[in-house]
Amino acid sequence: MDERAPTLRVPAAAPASAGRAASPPRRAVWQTVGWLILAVALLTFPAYASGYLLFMATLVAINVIATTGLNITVGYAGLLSIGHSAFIGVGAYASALLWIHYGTPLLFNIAAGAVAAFLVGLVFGAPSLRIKDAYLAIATLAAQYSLYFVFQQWTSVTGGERGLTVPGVDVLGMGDIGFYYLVIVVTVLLCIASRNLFRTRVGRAFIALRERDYAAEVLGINVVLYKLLAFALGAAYAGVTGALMAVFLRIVNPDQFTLLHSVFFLAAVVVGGQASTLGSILGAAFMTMMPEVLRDLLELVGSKDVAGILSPMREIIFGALIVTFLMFEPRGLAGLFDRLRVGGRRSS
Amino acid sequence: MPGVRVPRQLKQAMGGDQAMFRKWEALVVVGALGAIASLAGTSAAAQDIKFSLQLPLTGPIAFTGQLNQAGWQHAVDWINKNGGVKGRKLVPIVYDSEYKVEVGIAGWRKAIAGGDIAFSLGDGTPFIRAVSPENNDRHKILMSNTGYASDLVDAKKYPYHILLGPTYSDQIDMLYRYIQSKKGSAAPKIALVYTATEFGRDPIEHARKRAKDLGFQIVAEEETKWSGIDVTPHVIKLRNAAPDYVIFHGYAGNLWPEILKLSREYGIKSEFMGTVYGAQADLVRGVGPAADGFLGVAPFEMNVAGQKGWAMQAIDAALKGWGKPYEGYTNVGYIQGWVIALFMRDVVAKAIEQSKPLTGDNLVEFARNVKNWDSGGMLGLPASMVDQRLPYGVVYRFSVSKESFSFKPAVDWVKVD
Amino acid sequence: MHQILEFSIIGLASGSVYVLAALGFVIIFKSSSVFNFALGEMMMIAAYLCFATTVQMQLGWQAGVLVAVVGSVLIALAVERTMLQPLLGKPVIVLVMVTLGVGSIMRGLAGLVWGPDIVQLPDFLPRAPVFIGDVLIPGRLAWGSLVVGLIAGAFMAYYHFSRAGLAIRATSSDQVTAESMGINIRQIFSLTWAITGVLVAASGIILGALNGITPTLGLVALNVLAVVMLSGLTSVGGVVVAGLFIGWVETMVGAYLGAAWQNFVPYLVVLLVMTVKPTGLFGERRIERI
Repeated sequence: MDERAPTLRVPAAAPASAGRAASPPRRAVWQTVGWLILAVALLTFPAYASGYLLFMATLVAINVIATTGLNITVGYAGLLSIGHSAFIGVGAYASALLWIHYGTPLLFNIAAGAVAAFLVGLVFGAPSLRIKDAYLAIATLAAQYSLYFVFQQWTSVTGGERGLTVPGVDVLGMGDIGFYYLVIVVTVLLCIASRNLFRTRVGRAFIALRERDYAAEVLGINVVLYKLLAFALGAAYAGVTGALMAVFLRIVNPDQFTLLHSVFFLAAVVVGGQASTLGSILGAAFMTMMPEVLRDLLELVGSKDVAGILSPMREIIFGALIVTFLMFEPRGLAGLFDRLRVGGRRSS
Repeated sequence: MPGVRVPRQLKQAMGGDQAMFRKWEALVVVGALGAIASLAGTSAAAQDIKFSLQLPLTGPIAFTGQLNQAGWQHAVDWINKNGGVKGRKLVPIVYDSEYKVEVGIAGWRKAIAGGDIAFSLGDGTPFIRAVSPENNDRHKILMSNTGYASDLVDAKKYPYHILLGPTYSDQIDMLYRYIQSKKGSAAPKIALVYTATEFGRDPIEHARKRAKDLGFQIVAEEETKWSGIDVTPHVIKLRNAAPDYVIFHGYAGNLWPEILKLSREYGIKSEFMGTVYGAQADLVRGVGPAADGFLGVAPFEMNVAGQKGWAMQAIDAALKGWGKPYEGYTNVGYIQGWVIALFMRDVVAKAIEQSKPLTGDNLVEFARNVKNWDSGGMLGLPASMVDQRLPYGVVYRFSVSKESFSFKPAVDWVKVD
Repeated sequence: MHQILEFSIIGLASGSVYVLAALGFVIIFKSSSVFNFALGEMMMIAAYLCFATTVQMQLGWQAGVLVAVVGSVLIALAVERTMLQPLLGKPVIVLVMVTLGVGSIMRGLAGLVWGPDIVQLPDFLPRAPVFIGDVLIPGRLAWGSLVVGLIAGAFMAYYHFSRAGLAIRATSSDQVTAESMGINIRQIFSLTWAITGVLVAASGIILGALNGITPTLGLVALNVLAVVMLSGLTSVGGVVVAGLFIGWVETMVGAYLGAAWQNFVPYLVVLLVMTVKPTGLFGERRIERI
């Protein structure tokens, strides 16, 4: 579904279903079946997945959260943010420190990570009030470097370069599997929340910001407030991601939150599809799995020196994907699916 | 079936009609990707001995990482051709960690998921620090790494880690031994030049303390960035401090050569020295005539041609057959692979001999108690483990000119106490 | 006092290395509002081309410089024609991401072709230290800044006094009017990219000569961004001042505060400027019309 200008569009589904009076109920059936299958698959995944696949699935879900958040800021509200991984770092350090020093429960730490990142997002969102586009991009870059500096230098709190070692958390007594379930639940909830956001006034205001922000102001939308909110909300999602990452990898150090990681998430948004929750899911999954798939493909091709060329190859493919998608399918993987589904007819 | 009623709120929350298919399709795609990813697993047979190696094949220390990989590959080939590990094949599983901790950890977990890892090599101390808590509790796999951090001798923090070489603090001690041997009546003046990283700062505290104990005077401490900047201010400060000796530590491969060259141009007359990674033969050679007289610590023999030890001869053969230019010497990064591979072969072989399962607890026992290990010439003395490391090394003096390049021991093989 | 003078001169000299790259950045932005995140990688590729010609093919440094410049211009034009022109008019994020993608491709290609190790250019900038009064400047730094000064000067002259320069300035100021005056906008875009190709080639070669070449040489360009932000994304003259200033600040910070601050300080400066004057010290306020 294109959430770009919901009030102005005639739903694309209407013409198709007009001629087939029986399809709405059939749709309902397929919906339910589809959801059940999805739910069952997610629930039973740990039973047949290897330790490695479970690891990757958890990682994908965690990345989905951050991508969804970035999509809110960039895809929906049109604010260019190149410092996303710094907010992930804020969430990671905040929650790790609470866990290490106060032993607070995991859910509390996750919430705290989100709140901390939200607040920091407000602070760094401030420049977006006065500047836009390319200038904003550099201001977010400045945010990235400043936060990295803080992570690296505030040794007494953040452990400096060595970072923090985080004790494990056993969720429901089920170890890795328990953690996987927790992450899946959090991810699903946040995705639903994001999707619902764009049915509310707040969400529509974001979209208006992206399209014509001065017109939005004329319409009575408080541009300043909503810009800040878009930034901070995206940052809050990043904070949740950070909190989960801290417990997942059991280390937090500044080199996990660099410019290259921010670009990773931007690519996930672009490749998956801007302004689309499905796009966030696809983009995160794709970007996370791509290096692994590439590695396996190269290994199958059978070169002994695979490991050495993997990294440059990854950069080339990564870059080529971004460029190709932007040039030929700007709505990303979500857009591709859309086309396949409606048989090539554009639904704009 | 018209009768199925999904609550309207739920349906709306799920995004209405169109979202259904897409989420379903999304799952299919993700599932397919996951399936492909798990397709090419490790193709090792049941009896094989598996080692998981995280090496920095790309990234800032790729020079060393790639040498490491080559050394391992050659060593493993040689071992498998010469009876394997008590007849069993040695299979290394290599991952490029890009010198990033989380990438290394992901690779390590992937290898562990394949099961039966007897030994793990990390790409540096940050990796070991990160995985030790989990490894100590759960996996208990014997580990080593390519770095020589000083606190790895702590058996309580790192019960499953062994270090096959001297720590950075040990290396500073070796350099100090050289300075001690040259000491006249005046207190030697020392400058420490190191990077603002954990790697760089590792032995500095110890260096200060030892200097005080030995009556050396530290006249300058220059903490520099890790890469990519103009070094002139640092050289200016060195010139002002006028040390007798300048010690480099913590560099990957750049920056210190420039400092050295610039120092010579500024007329600084000190003797320059470096710890292990700052003293790799080809690196020093690349600096050119400014590095003539440079002193470097090495934990293994770097001169290969003409050596008598059986391992050195195997290395000689491997280097000749490699196809890369070979002039009778090699780099620490390359030999490190051989040393660790052969050491581990002996440790695992002992466990197999005594029919002990290859768990970390057992292997660590054997490893820690190795005495007078015959390294086939790679180490200049019979090596025994002290505090879970091999505190042995040699200090080479390099002779570099436009036409020629060579190095020989300035301080012969020592054991650091 | 003498120390401060010495450090200051060194700082200004090292800052000059940023100036050329920053100029390349600014003229593209001014004329087509494209934010070229691949600038650093373009510098890196040019440096490698010089290396390949001079060292690997043993053709001497003059040939190396020539190949680097020509190659850089061709690559710049290719990128502009195939990837940017089709996307003109799309939202900014698209163009930014494309340049990020292009930069990534370049880094990967360089890593594949030349490997990750640091390679050195031969010393075609004389190494002998240069004396200014009492102050000692390393030879290559001094000569490097001199070269930069000459090129920057030539560029400024071209920009201000030639017809093509006038056309570029017209386009930057108002595309619609410029087009209606008969200026071929698309040609101007290509021209600015081509000029940038020359500037980044010079910048890349000098940087490579000073510090060695690796696939990550381009990351230095992020400091260039700080320069550009400080001066404002639209001021050509301002960029020169900003570049020298940032170089000076970095050196002073490195000398007196230590290495860890060096990476951060340019961005600290940027942040301060952003809060006070968001369009930069010398930038123009662009009036947006509905």
